[in-house]
Amino acid sequence: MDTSNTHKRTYIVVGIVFVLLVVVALVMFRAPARTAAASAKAQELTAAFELAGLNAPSEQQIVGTLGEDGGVVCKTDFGNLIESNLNLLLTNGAAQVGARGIIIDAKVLTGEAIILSVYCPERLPEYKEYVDQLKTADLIKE
Amino acid sequence: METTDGSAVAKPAIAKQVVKAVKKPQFITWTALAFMTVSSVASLRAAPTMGIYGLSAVFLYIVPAIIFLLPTSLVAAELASGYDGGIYNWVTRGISAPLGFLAVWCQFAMTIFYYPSLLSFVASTFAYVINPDLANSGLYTAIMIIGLYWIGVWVSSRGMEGLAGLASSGLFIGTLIPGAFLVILGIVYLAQGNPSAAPMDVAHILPPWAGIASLVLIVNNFLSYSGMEMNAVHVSDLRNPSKEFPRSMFLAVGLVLVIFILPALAISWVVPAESMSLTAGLMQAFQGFFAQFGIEFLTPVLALMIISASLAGMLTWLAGPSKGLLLIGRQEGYLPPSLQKLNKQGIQQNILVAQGVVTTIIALLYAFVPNVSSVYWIFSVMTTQVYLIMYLLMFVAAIQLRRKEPNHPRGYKAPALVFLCILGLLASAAAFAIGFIPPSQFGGGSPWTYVGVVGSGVIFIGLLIPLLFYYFRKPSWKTTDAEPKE
Repeated sequence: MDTSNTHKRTYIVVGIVFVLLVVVALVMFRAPARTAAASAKAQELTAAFELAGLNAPSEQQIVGTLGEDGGVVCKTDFGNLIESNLNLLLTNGAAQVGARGIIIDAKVLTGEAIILSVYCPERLPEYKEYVDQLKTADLIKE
Repeated sequence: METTDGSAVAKPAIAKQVVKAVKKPQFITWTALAFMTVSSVASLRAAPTMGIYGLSAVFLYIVPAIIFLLPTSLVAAELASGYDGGIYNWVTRGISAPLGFLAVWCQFAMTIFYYPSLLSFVASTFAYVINPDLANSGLYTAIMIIGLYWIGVWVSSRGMEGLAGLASSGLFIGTLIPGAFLVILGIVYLAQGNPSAAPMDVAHILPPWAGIASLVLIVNNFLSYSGMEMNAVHVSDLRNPSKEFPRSMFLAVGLVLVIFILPALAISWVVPAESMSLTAGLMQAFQGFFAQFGIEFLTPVLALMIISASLAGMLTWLAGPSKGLLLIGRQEGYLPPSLQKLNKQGIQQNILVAQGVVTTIIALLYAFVPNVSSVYWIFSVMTTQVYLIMYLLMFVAAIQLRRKEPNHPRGYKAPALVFLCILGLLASAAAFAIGFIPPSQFGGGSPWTYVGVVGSGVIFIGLLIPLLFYYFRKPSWKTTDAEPKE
């Protein structure tokens, strides 16, 4: 069989699978609705950020990611694999093989705690239990 | 497409070296090799992680680029422009065959724990857009890791030409196009008069000094450029390696810097560092970015693009170190004949399958055994340490080769090679030493326990296993046509 034809077939199959997955993802993805309740929650979060002396995202960003109920942040159970993924995220700037742990800035962890306290406070204790055991430093300039 | 076919007349020696079974050698262009190198090293995955440092992200990428990327790239360019085979042949000729095997083993071993962590990232990214609950499902994670790995093996086993094409496509679709989109949106955001979320003044160029934590951050970032030399093993797949490899390397260096720095900056302009949700994953930062422009519905498209770039990177890692391992295994008889077998495309399929079995076991342990997944990050630390041993050997070999074979034809001669090698050696040694400092994940545990755990892992993965291969080698396992070319 001609090699370039084989490769063309591989590209076509990969391309079709990619497009199908994009369609599936677009259909299944639920972006938070931009409602008045979501805006009210966003204002509550902004106030909480400011109270903690942190830089709050714009209302558009908050509504578009957290909606009324906290979106993915509140839907994700803090299980073993989530903790593992989190551990793998607290890394240097490598995108492929060189990724390894660093000492993270505490502010990055504080922001999420505030998000949880506003949108799904029942999840805060398990998050705090995890972050309290992490070593942190002050690496982001105000 | 960045690939071309070549005739057996144009390059008979290469066809003979790589595999007898290949009827027609598949050549790749220098741009395709550059894209493969970029796929192996860079993607948008790191942009939110580094975006939190604002303008300091530039410093955190540029300083390691000067100290580590520059020596690695220039030295690899010189070595590949003069010698076939990549790291194993450089170290074999420059130092010794056993250390050549150790070098390529260290490169190969790096990937053992890399695939499950990369593919679990892919799994959680896909879960983010279809059903976030899946991210915590062991069954889903195991199916994704194992399924995607074996699909990768199947694609890799179909030959270099196709792999180079997919890696290039993955880079364009998964990194360059969305990266350019993020940067343009970031510029639009600033042009609309919005203040940058992270301060962009001179006072914020340098990160604050936080003692050992700053050192860990800066030095660990050297490893962001790990893998620049890896695709040199495919140098004989170029039509004119001595001229084309350096060109390919320089293009890759430029693209890697652009991909790492600009999207991270764009995110820091729009999304405040403190608003990152780590448990939701990196996609949350991208969704916040898009939400600023009212286009958060595009998040799943970006997720699939990032996934395609990650898988393209995985393909290059499947094809590279295993090929180096095969070449020295055949040349020195370090690998049993069953692992030396090639398929009709000339690909080391059995090595990939053997690695697949190990990856499958690791994936199952990762997905279903909490004690494994909770400490999985330590395995990544161990293998990055092992990988640094390879860099130490590469720089020593480069100095030795310049000294022992000064007149050997090289398509490119790195300026001040000895200085570059010493700089690279010091950078690699510093990164190795910093690897023993406990990161955030280790919490308040004893630093000496951490040193003991990481040190034991390095000895086991980086020394004991290759020693066993060396001990059990057999002269009868040597393959006569496996001599490296100059």
